[in-house]
Amino acid sequence: MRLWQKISLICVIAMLLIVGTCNTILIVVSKDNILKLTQNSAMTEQSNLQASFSGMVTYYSDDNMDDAAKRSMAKYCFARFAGSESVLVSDNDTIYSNVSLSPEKILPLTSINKQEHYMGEMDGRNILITGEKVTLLSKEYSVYTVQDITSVYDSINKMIWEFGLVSFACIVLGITLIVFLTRFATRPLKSLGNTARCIAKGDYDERAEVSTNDEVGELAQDFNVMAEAVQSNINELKENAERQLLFIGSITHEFKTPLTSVIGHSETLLYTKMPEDIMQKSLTHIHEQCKWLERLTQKLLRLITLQEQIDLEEGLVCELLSAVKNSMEETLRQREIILQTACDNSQLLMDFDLMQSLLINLVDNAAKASKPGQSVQITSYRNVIEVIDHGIGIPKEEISRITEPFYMVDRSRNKLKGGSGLGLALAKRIADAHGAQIAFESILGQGTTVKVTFPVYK
Amino acid sequence: MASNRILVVEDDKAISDFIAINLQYTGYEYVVISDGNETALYLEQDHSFDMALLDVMIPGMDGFELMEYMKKYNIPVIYLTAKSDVSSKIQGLRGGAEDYIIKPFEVLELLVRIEKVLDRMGKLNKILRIKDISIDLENHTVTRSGKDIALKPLEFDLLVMLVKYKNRTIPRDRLLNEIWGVDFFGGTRTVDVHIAQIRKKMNLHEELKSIPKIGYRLEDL
Repeated sequence: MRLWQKISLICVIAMLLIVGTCNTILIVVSKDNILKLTQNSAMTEQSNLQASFSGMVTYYSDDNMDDAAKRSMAKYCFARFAGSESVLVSDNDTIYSNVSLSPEKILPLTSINKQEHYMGEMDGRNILITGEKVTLLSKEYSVYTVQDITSVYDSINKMIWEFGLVSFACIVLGITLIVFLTRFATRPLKSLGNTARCIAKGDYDERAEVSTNDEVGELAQDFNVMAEAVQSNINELKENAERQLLFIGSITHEFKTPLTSVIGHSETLLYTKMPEDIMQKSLTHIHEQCKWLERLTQKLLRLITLQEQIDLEEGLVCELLSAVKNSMEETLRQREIILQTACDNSQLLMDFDLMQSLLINLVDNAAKASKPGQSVQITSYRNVIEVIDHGIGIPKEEISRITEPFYMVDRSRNKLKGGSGLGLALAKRIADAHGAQIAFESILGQGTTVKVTFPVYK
Repeated sequence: MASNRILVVEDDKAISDFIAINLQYTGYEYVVISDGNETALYLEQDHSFDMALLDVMIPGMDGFELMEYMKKYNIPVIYLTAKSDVSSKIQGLRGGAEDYIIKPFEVLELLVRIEKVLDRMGKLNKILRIKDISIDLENHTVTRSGKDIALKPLEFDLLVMLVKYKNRTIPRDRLLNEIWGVDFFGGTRTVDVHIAQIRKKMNLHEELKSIPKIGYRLEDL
């Protein structure tokens, strides 16, 4: 069942209950009122009749008259005022009556001067009998009025019917209105649903229309916030996937070049007759390319398996720098590059081996960019470690890309110096794993400063 | 007739080295350049090449950009590249390249493709020479020291293939496929029989070497 149907159903049930109850109460009260009014008017009529009759009888008769005279007198006086529905009875003797029934049998009066009434059905007609007993000149008389109130009941019934009809019309109108209004009120939900389906189909730019200020509007707003989040997540995933693809593409490309030489040279050695020295050259190429592949796989493995979560321990930066200096000294001496280190007493949370690898990568890059005789400095202060060179620098537009795997500013020059294009990607990964920022500042021809900023250490 | 001259533009020394070795022993002349811009400059001085092998990703102008210069001097191009995506391939071939070879490749395949391109361009020598042997491809005649030698058609084709890829071991099954065709039902013994005939008729007992378990090689060194 749809929401609008449910809401409509609940509303209709509520409306039916309310209308039914109200109608019942109204009908009961109205019926009561009408009957009471009829009764009151009957009672007034009876009182008037009785008063007039009593007055006349006491005026014209006296106690000395015999019973027959008294009876005649009473009959005469009563007839003067009686209507078609009046009855006068005295001691079971009906003195005057225009009606076909005997009211004294239906409503026997016992007490004097007390008006009584009866309402009931007789022979398919509704009747109202009002009576009172009076003592006039030591004789008891019962004065009745008998009214046929069938028409009152008829009009009550008619009223009930009319009420029913009006209620029915109201209910039909109400149901129509409720259905229409609930559909109108739930329309934003429907459009929200459409939007959701669009998004589910992959149209992540779709947004719900926020036209109302109510819960549905809020829902639409929340929905849009969610859609925004989904879209950005999806985009991120897509970018990630693209980056992965690009990365894998780069890896295959990087592997293809050395593989081409290995395959080419080995095939040449296998099938071609050539002098010893040229064979030697071919073999050397194969050997070098294989060693290169081995280095490449090592670095790749390191890059791929480096986890975000690493074991961080407090370590002295000075110790780190001297370790880097020790391991780089020989290489740098061969390249005639001077390595200077300066550090303060600060301690940083780090993985010593990984940080060493990061700094070695940076120093190696700095050395590759420098000419023989130039110096490379590692300086540390508080939570910052800087590697500074005075070499060729990095073009400004390339800086944002240098930490991408296999990105090389000068490909052939880098290859000549044995670079894989993975060093800075690895450095960035290590910095990320430490929660540290790595920033490059460079001026072409004047040198580069790489700044590794650790999160503030307490 | 002079041998075909081939321009090799490749920045990886290890790769250009083995290409050079193979071109040399197959009897081509070659020039190796490792930079796009340098290539363009070099062509202004010397552009008498029968074809060019271009790497796409090289320093300076890339292989696709060099195409313009190659067209200018009417040099057919084969691309040699690690870029295996279809769009690069289409770009290369649309640009006017004769062929597109994806690294890594087999040397023999490269040599065959070079030969096919030269043949299409009509730049292939019609007369093959090795030592004192001369083979006329158009008239199907073979002479050694000026003396005509009568060879059966299949023997002739076999000799041509051995001479074309001289100094290079050609596997038996390869010879069988190239000359008898892939549908040939006979075994590699057929090759051995024909080789024996050539050795006898041409007196090539020394030069036409059997390489155990692989195939045959004609040496002129």
